[in-house]
Amino acid sequence: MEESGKKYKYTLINYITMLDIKLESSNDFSFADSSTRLFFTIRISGRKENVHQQKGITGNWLIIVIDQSSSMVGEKLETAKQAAISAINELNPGNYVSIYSFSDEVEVVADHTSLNDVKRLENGIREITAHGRTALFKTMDFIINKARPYAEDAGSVTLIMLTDGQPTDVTDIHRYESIAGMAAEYGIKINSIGIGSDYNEEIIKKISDITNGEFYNIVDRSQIGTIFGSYVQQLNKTVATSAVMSLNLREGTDFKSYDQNFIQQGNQYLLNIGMISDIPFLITGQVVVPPGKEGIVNVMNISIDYKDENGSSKSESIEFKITRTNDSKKIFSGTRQDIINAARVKMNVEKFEYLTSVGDITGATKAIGEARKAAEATKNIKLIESTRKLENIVSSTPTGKVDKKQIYNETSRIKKKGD
Amino acid sequence: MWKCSKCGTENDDSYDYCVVCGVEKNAPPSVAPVTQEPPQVQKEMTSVPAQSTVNSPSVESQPAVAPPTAPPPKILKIAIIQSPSPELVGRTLDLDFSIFQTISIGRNPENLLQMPDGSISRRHALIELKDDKFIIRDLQSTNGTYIFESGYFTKIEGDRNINVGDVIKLGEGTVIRVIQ
Repeated sequence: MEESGKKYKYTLINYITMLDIKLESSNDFSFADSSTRLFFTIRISGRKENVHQQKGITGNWLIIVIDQSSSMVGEKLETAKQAAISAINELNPGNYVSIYSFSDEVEVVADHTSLNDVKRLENGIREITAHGRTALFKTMDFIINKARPYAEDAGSVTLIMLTDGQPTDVTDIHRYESIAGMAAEYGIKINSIGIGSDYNEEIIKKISDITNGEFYNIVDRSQIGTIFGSYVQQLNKTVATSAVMSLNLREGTDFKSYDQNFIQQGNQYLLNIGMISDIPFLITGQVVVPPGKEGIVNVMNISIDYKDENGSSKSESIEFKITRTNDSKKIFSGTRQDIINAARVKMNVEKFEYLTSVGDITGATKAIGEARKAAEATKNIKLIESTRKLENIVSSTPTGKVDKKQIYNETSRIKKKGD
Repeated sequence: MWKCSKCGTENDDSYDYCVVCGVEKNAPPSVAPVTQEPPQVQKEMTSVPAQSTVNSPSVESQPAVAPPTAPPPKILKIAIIQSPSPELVGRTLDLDFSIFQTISIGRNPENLLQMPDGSISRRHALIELKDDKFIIRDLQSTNGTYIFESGYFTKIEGDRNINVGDVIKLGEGTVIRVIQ
């Protein structure tokens, strides 16, 4: 472990491999006589020189899923088709794409296809026309099972799904949770885009949350191209694929993440990260260290297994260590207020999101107030604006009819991108 | 609201752990901390012969060194151990009382020591050299001035002597320690 000053005590800069892994904790100490909660942030990204030196690892799989139900007719569908065409033209050769459209049935425009014949793919996309209803469950179930063998064989799968309507086949959110859980297990990241005012934000947001994807509520059609483009840019700068993080906790230590969905197996927590680019992948959360005798405590081991540019399996790990003490002064002087503030924003945003989803607007208002105060302490302008916006949304709708689409758009960005 | 038994922070009832020091809600209070070595500082800041703003690294310079023949310096050395501005945490500051008998602390620029913390009042507190002793006085600030003793931050009312090792909280987000 390299120590480069107090701020980055746990920074690991590995000069042999492709990744930068940075762990920062709100304190290097915990109380010996009481349980102590520590906030932490982990940032994982490709090392800049590697990102710039190479064109990006290929072999990723980009899946684009477009709702072609009759309500999509006109500009909405045409903009989505154009965004898909731009994406396949911008994606580096050597990667794979699938294009699916759906209404009453799933239509396969292209299935795990290389980018050798982009014109043929373009023609297939142009032939998508609006008709029928929105068989969302059937579509997601079909696609997740299609992607499963590749994903399970440790390939990185990025899925973008765009819809504008309520599902007409299955409306039970638990069934979506179930298939999203399988997707998460296989390592398929589902990013969902809702367009218009009639789609079911609870369902598609839940799918994205469970698979650690992002959720977008589109109010301006031009955003579709921007979102598709951002994923293509990330894929083109891939430095590692098939990344899986595992956290092995010391017995008796509690763990919680505010922004990522881990799969728990006893004292081990697993997270399918998929591909890693130069854009940091963030994990923010807390650990509760139990009381015990004074001295150094290894709170958890953090390992990341991934594949490099040659397809070789690699693994990196760092240790999260703190010191238990009875000296309060050490604890007070070791406090990292910046880490605390950033974590408190996400902690309260997550709480706000949950309370909003269950209709507790009073509780949600209080939680977002706490998040806004913490955001102000971070002095991050974007974060302050986002939390103020959310506060305004809930405070301006006393009847409880809050715009959840708009709310989830903001909360998803805060949780995943940190602003 | 509940008061943290370790650092005295007032926490919302919905929190199970103190938002500042992280200790659980019903933790026992600490025993009085033993005096320890000053914290390892990252940077030294200049003494305060005139108005100083603790919000920019540009005010850094070499620490004041008294000439060998001069009388003992009337300098109080403090370290900032917590601040909303992370770049200030760990810095030390020499408060030079050979020029001013009192040094005012607050958020506004008219103070000799201007602290970038929204929870600190415009005119928050004074440190004064009186009868060869340093005292601190809260100026009826909104969020108070506290001294850490017997496991708690205790609010300072009136004049209070300060000594090496004392930990003082200004408002909600700034904590300093007297180190020399």
